[in-house]
Amino acid sequence: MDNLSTEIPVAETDGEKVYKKVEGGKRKADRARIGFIIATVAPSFLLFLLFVILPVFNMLYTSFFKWDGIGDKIFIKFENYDVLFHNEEFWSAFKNTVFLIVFVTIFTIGLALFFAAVLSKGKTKGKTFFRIVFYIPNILSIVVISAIFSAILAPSYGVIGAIAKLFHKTYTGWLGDMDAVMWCITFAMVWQAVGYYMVMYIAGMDGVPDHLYEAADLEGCSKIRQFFMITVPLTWDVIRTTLTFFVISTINMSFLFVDAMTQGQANSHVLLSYMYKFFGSQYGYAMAIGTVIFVFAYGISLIIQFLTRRETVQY
Amino acid sequence: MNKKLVALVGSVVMLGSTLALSACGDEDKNQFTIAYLAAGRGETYVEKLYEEFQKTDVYKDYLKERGLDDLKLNVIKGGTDNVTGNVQNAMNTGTKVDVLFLNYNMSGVALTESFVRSKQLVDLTSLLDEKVYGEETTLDEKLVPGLLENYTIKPYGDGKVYTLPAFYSPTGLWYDASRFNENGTDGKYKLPATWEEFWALGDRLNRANANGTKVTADTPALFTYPTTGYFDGFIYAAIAGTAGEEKFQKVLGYADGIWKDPDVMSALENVVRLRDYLEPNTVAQANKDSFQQNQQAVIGSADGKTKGTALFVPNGDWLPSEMAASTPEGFEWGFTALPKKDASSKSYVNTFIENVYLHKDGNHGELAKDFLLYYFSNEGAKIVAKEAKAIIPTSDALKNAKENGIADSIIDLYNVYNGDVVAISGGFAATESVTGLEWSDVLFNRLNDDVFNAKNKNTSVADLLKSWSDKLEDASDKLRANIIK
Amino acid sequence: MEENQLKKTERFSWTGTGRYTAKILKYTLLILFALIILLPLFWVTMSSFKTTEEINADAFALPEKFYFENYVNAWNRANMGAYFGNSIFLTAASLALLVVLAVPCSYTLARFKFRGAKMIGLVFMAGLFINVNYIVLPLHIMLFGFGKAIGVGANITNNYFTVIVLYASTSLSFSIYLMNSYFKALSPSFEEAAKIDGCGYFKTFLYICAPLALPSILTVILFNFLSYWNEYILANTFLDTAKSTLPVGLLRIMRESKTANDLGRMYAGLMIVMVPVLIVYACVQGQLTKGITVGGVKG
Repeated sequence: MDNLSTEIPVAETDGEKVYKKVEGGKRKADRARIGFIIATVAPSFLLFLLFVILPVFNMLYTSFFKWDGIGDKIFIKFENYDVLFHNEEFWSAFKNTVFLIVFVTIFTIGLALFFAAVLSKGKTKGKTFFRIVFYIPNILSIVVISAIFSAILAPSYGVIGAIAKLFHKTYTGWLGDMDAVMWCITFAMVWQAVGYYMVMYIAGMDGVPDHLYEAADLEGCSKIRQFFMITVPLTWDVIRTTLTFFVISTINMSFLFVDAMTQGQANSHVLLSYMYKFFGSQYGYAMAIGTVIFVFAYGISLIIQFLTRRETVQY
Repeated sequence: MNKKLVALVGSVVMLGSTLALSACGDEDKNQFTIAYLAAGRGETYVEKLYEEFQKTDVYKDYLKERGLDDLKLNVIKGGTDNVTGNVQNAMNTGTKVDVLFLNYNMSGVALTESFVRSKQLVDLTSLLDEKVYGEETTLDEKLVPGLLENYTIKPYGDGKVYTLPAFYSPTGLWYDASRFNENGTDGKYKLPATWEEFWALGDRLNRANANGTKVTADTPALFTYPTTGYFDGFIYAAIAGTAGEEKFQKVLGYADGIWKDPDVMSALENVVRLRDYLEPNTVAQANKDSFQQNQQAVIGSADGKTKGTALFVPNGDWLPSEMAASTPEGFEWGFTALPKKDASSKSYVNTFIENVYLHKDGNHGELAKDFLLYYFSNEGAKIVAKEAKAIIPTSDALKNAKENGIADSIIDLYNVYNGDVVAISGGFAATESVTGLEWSDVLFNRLNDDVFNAKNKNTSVADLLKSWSDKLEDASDKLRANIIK
Repeated sequence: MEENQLKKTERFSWTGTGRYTAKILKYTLLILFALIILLPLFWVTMSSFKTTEEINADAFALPEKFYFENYVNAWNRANMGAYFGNSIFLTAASLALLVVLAVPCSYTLARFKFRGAKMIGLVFMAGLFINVNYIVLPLHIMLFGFGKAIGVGANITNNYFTVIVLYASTSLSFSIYLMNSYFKALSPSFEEAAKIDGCGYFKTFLYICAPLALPSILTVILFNFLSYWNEYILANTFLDTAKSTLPVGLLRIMRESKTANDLGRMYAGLMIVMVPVLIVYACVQGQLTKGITVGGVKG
């Protein structure tokens, strides 16, 4: 076929001859091109559809059934959702998730921006040292971090207890204290995440041209003002993107922390840990919870995208 | 395009499965499969039992009848976290399991419950009339009386037996024996016999702590618990003791209005009141990561220099061995039933039953029954005593415990059944699962947060009690509607 | 003129003291946060050399002598050696598969215009929001059901091959996204030159473009190394005890050593998991802490 198209004797104009030749060559090249595209994209895309996209639909599908994983699946329409929305524990988990989204985000992004500002442009001694140290928690497994904090917070052999003893105070374990437990998880999560986002912001801030700051200095503009008038607007795109990702990742991370630190004691369940509670007994119900989390996560990222929309400042 | 996609997906998945398949074969007919929980009771007793069982005529006859040379033992075992999952996996890969030593309420997959729901167990009622291996007594005569009358054994409440008690153990309150004596003299405490005395002791301890001192080894708290999961036996015995056996059975059958019954509520009140007498670290440590710290609170420091900060902890007979590594030398455990209603009433001991049952799809159902008859024989008792350091639930096993090499401390424990004690066993009627509801959450898991947490300090006992019994009644109603007939 | 001068000095002195306090504040915060990160790690290190009695007696005391028994116990009794091997194998194999899948895919999506390219790109983008935690359960149910249907049951879920494929598949989105802008930024002149030299598409990609994108590929490898090495939900759900990875094993050790009241062993176990990662980090920290610039957020 290919040969045919290239070697058709052409008795017309030179231009057409060339055109046809190119056409034929192009078709040959097209085949190679299509072959290359399929060979490179198809495996990834299929695996992705199969193991990432399909499970999401599977989750939705299973959420309409009652199923213990061993017996028969019984179609029950929206019953799982109906039970879910009237369940106290679910709402408590929901509340905790929102709590973490709000506070972990505020503290992490705030601190990360501050450290990034200080460590990117300003004249700070030990820049590299701080960068390296702040990033350490991010490379540790959540299991390790949770273990460290559980040990620190343990009433009988932990650090907090030992400090309390120095001041002759009783300490009975914050992880069992409903008022304190979510703050402990918040602390651990902020501890873990600040470095990562700091590095992202440093990357963004490095792109802001120096002359803007020099000009601001000449104007006598304070560093704090410079931060809000120059740094934040010029890195807004970065902040905005990280914010969206951060909220999504908080929903995930909170599960890992709760699972390893508290297992939901003292009303500390978050949405995902509440879902896992029903793994092994009530799959349909668990999947209904999963679907709600999924919709919630997508919804919240859309809202953030919408709220943070503003014109990108160019430099 | 579609076909290509399907083919590709198929080939990717097949590649994975062929890798997996190479390890698995179909030798079911030539093997006898036993699943068991290998924790607490040791990790070898089933293997040893089967080894000896293979020497019996019963076994040899079975082989001859079927024209088999040998039936190899295939065990599926695991710890509390994964044994049910392992069994489920094996069954899903086509393994036929004959005998299962598994309990209800295990963490992980709710396997026993699921079998009961889908009626996959073998009816063992007639086995009770058969003679145990090598003896002239029937299984029914052999078993410790009273252990069969509960829903774990007769899950459908129709009198038919679907599981047998493989192990039994009293659950009650453990304490440091050196801190108590008969009359509470020499700076020691008197063991409280009634609830009244129990609370009086608690109040005395609280007064000592109220004078600006914290809970210490010298001024301990009355009570701690490992996790709220350990309240099951506590609650059962409290209800049976305070409200009577009849109402206790109604509780187990999810009878209408039972949790609003004043007697049952007064039993629950004994649980709720504990919140004022707790060792302060208890709540924070009542999880599967730190519960040993609570148990340690009764023992004191591992070097024996200081005594514990709590007097009582509810638990089963495995507690001493579980804590052995951090128990100082010379420490002596004491064990008592729950306090009585009043001086003249009986005390009740909840008995924790570990079940054994046969699956209806097993390849060697007849041999499995023979294996059970062997298990409950004196010979079986001897092997279990040696390998698992445990007493099986036959009267002879307890009688022979000493010569079978069971430690005195454990025999003492089972002697709690002698005398004025009534043995009861919890275990609820089998139901279909109710979406979003976990009965164990309502009955005890939520206690940690809803009752004992410091946050409830300002809520009165009466209010806490009411909200708990409301929830119980509500959940009980839902479950009653789903009882499997 | 004089007035002006005055104003200037006034302003200067104000910003001067402002700067001074700001400076103190800045360093206080920096040092404080560094301590908050380092002290817990130091405390764990210290505790890992103490006997359980010492740990219980005084949380702050330095170890009386280095008690290496903890490490021996953690390594032997808790099977850490096997978990270590499992983790290395899983991580390496998953990384290899990921690179083979993601690099060509990202390249093609970035540099070729074809029908459906946009749609495929969008689907991958959507995947950025689907974290593996959401889908572990449905994945398990799905694969388990499939295994049951073809008669291999749990052998399909309790299987390294499956976990490797899942690890690679679930990190495709992020990796493709990360390399995308890098490939996009390459000058087309490279490809033109290659074409003239008679290179086919595969050769062009393999010998010209992929090496040029090496920094971003390394970044992808680094980030995913960390996430695979530390991953535990999927491993915990799919693999049984014998196949456990390090984080899953660590969780078990923690529970077991607390059960045995052997806190020293617990801290030693923590160290065994932590130290290799810290060493790797020390070697590549430059790449990591500036690596995100590459594609990261500015896509």
